[in-house]
Amino acid sequence: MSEKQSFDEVNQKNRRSRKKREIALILPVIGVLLLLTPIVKLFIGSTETSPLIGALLFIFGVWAALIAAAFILSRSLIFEIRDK
Amino acid sequence: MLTFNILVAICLVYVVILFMVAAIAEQWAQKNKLSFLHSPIVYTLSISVYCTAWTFYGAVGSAARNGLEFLAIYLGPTLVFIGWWWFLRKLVRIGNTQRITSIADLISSRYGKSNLLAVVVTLLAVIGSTPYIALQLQSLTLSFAVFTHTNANAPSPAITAFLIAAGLAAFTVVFGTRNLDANERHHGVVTAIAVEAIVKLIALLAVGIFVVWFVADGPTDVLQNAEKMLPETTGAFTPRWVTLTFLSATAIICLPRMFQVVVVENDAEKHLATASWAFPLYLFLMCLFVVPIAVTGLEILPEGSNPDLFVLTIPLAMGQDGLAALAFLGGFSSATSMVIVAAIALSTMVSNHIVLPLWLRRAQARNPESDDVRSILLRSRRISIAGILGLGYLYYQFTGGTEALASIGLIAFLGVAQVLPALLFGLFWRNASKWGALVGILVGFTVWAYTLFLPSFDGSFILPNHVLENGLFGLSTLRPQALFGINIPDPLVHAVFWSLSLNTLVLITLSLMTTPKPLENLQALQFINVFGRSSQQHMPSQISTSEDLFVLAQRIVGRAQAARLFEDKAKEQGKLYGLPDPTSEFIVTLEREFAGSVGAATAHAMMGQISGRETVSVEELIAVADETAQVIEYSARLERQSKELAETAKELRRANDKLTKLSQQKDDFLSQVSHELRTPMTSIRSFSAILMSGEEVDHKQFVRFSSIINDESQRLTRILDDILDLSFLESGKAKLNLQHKNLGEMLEQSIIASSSINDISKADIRLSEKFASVDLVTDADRLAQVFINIISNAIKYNDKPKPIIKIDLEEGQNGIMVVISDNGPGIPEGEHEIIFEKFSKLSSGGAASGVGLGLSICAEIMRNLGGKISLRPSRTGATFAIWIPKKV
Amino acid sequence: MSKSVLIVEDEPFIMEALSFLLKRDGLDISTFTDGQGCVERIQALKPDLVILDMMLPNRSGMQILEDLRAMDDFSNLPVLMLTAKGQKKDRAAAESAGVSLFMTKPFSNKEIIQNVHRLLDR
Repeated sequence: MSEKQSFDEVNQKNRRSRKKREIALILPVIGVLLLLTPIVKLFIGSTETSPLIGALLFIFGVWAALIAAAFILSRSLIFEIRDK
Repeated sequence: MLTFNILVAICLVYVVILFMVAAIAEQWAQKNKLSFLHSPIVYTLSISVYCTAWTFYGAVGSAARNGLEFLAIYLGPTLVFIGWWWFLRKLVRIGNTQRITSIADLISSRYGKSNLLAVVVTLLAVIGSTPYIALQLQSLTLSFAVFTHTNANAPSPAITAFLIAAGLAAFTVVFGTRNLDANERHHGVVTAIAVEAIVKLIALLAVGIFVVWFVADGPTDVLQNAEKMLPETTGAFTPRWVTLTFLSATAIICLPRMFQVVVVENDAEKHLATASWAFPLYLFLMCLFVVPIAVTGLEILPEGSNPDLFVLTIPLAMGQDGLAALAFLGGFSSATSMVIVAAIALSTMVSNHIVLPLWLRRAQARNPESDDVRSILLRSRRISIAGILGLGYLYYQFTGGTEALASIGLIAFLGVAQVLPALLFGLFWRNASKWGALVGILVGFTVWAYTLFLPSFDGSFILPNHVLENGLFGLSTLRPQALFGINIPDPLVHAVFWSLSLNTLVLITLSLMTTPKPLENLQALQFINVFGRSSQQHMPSQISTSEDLFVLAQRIVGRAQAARLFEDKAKEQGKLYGLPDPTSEFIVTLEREFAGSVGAATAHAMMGQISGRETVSVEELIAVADETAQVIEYSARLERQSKELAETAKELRRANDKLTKLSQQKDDFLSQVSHELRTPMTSIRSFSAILMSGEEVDHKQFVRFSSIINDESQRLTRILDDILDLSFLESGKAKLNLQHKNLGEMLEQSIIASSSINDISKADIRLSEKFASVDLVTDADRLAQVFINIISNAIKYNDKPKPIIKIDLEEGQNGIMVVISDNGPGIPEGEHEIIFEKFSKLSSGGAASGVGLGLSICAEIMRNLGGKISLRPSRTGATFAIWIPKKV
Repeated sequence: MSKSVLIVEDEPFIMEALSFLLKRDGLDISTFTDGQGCVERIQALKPDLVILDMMLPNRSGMQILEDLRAMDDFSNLPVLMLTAKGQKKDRAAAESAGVSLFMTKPFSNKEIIQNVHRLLDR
């Protein structure tokens, strides 16, 4: 009975790590979408601040967010590599 | 005041420190004290060699001129590193498992170890890197010039550049070509580069902080200025923006120096995980203060000053000599690190792929010893380094130092980017072939040269101005900056579009048209499926395959059975928990299980789809082929065996039938015997019981019963004797006692013997006289037994008042016939054969007493004697014919 | 009136023994030695019991038994079958054909007298 449980557990663990890996793959795509396409133009057109500052803040903001996300992901993915 | 000499002194001290760092690192590496060198931080910092003088100086310049456009150069690499999991990781894995030493090595190896490809890529890399190196030289001289433009004694830029180039060559030679590392790792250089990376960052950050909080009034102030100073268009999110991002993303891998530090110098994949966020962070920090510096420079420095040099000129203008010196050092680090690593990477390629093959071909006659090879490699590398730097210097001189550093860099980016299609397709598309890659690269290179590289000389090199204006041969469709009439305003975007799309198109077309050779195929599989090949490690793609299988199994055969299957398999594979490896054996098992539910064809298709991700290695193919051969041989053997078995079975069946018959016969015989014996026994028992009972019997009855007992006992004995006799005769163990005897005598004696058994007083026995003259050699006793039997029967069964028995002689060729005939009731026609059978009883017979075996014994005796006894058809009575051979 | 028994047996000495035993016991004994005509004799005689040997000339005891059982009058007639053959299947066949009692030769005098009386007293 306990063997069966650990089998299920490991299965779930695998699924979780799959999710992480999927995020790892999607993250750059999100980055590309945000940074390369003029999504920001939709947002800043109406604000008071000039397009330049808006773009600047947006780009650096997204950049920082991507770095943070990569940091979090890499921590858990390193665990996996170490496990194996 | 900072003079030229002080600057030089600072530089020299700095270089010495770098030397020491490199030396110590090399020593540690040799003593295997590699823990520090192996840290992910060193790896990440070494990647920062991406930030050259172009970053340090040129970013500010670009920001001042073109707004936020410069950010694209750093966002590209950011995205590549954030997405390390799927591409960089594969690249690094390949580099480690295939022991790749350079980008040329990678391409050549993937496409069947083609040396031609390696040469082309090497040349491409050298040509592409030359402007880049020139750019570094230029920035260095410019930065020197900032400090020395007042000093008339300072050497001219040309000489400065030359000295710098020479100095760099020397450093690189000393630390890049000390010895040969099998993996082409240069621990000393990498460590020195890491130190330079720190210096760069600190310098730029220092200037940035200074600018924002000490020159301006904080971030908001800067931002407000930015609005005023920088051009309207943000420069972001334009086609050029996208192109630059794409190009820089390509460059982070295809630039020889980048490939060197990211792939070749990597020795632990998990370092990539750290670099995935740490390197973008580094870039982030480097870019953070670029806009403030640009804006501030535009504000406070005079019109027309070179924005590329704001990093230096602002501190100087603010009287911060120390900061300026630090900034100078930062710029110096940026430039030198690039040149060193690039030179090493390029020289490695040149020596490995150009010099060595040539030398080996020439030295084919003599056996090249490893020492010879070693010295050749080292020497060629040193010479290449000098040559590459020389080229860079020449380019710098030739182009006269154009204003914008950035544009030179971009030309170089696109140049090396021509390798990208071959690389990308090579890693993911099995059919990408060598010729596709080769011609694609050449086409791309040509287009690049034509649309970007040569025009950059402004008509002074190869491509004259009028061609720029009017196209090649005057054809407007072949205008270098508006090919085929499509007018893309930005020449860079134009060049990128045409060179890469034509490159890719040729690659795809030629790959589809050609078939890769076996070696190429093998290499392709190895590269593409580098994650699939696991030895002891749990590879993610393997897990996903096992998971896929498990999900599929659950859907097809239900959760419980799927779990059981997988658990059992995992246990079999020695795993305590977790999914089993999807070995081909397991997949075959699963296919069988599935076939039970969805049919064999569907199951096969499913498994093929899933397991198609796994490589079928050559070993596995061979194993399968072996197995198939074995199976064929085995089944042939089985066929032979089954034929033999069928034969044996037939034999067995026949024997079995015989045995059954015999067994049946035995049973019949036994039951008959039992009957024959029990019958007299019954009388004996019953009468003796009567006599024993003590009850009254009269004397007559007493005598009668006693005699019955006596008679029946004798009968019993006779039967037993007959049985034994017959058995003895039939067993073949009966020995014949051959004698010479006169037949007449034998017959007379037989008659006498018969008479003692029966009452023959009334019988008339007529013996022929011919018998008197016949002599035989035979077993007389046995033969007499036959005669006695026949004659007795004849008498016993004769119901006529006067029994007549005639015994006649018939002479034959090899023997004689004794014919005994009587006038008795005879034997019915249908029973002439049966009467010789054991225990046969005449249907018309009278008292049956011992008739059963008598004739069988006669028949057996005659058989033993080589004769025969039979019945002749007769109208009246029975006629026995006994055939006796003259000689037994 | 004493009971009548018909003994059908082709071996003369056995017949003699049986006759002597049963006559001495006070039974009315008739004899028959052939398979052929046996049934008619039974019809004519209507004995209270038939002792039937299995091995008879021309017609086997089994056949006679079957014939008897097929006839209404003699379907319940007590029949004691004797055989010198030792096979089990004979007993089974006889019993399924409806024999009242089956004995093998040689027999015990006491036993056969007992059985005869038992069958007669039914």
